[in-house]
Amino acid sequence: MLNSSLKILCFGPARACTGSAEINFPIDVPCTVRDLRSALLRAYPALGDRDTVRIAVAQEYSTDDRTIQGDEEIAIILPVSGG
Amino acid sequence: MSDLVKLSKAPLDVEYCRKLIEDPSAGAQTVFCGAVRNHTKTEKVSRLTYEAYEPMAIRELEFILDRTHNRWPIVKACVHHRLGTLQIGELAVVVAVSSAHRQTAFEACMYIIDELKRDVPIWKREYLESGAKWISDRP
Repeated sequence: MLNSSLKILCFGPARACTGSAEINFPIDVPCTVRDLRSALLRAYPALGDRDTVRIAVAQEYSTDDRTIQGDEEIAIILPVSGG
Repeated sequence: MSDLVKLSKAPLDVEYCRKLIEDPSAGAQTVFCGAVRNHTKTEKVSRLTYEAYEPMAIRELEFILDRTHNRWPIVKACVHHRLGTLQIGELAVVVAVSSAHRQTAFEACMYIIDELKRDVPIWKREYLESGAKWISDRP
């Protein structure tokens, strides 16, 4: 099934960049993690660059080549600062 | 998992963590505590808040403990992280490790806190005299 938006969770500094804890981001899915990150960086330059934005798919860090089908839990993970 | 991995809105209990990793076969117990500091490089800090992507943070902490068990012959390991608002001096994190001998426990404890700081989705917001800001400064 083709969708044209993805629900994305934004925590802490990522929420400050996107303005919301959860966004409906316009993108055609399926897409790759690489595609999603590039589109997010174009829409929200404050997120930084490809080295600062990690994408979690189904609550795990994902590789750039992973395909997002659209029904997974997706989150933007900016550099963490726990501890 | 048991209480060995926990995100807590209540103050952390160091002795509780230490007791979780006690074992008759372990002659060494290391405990690392991370506390809220009252300054950055340039400014005074009045308090902090911590926020987590909680289900993923728990999974990542469990992965870290699994990797630690695979890499060192430790007996038990525990990591508790605080969430919410913390005042100066309060504990943000406690890592406790037991092993037969001390070197293993020291190394494993340092590995756990280093990996936590790199990978576990928890973020700190500092409240400074000049305002509040999220800390997100991995190079």
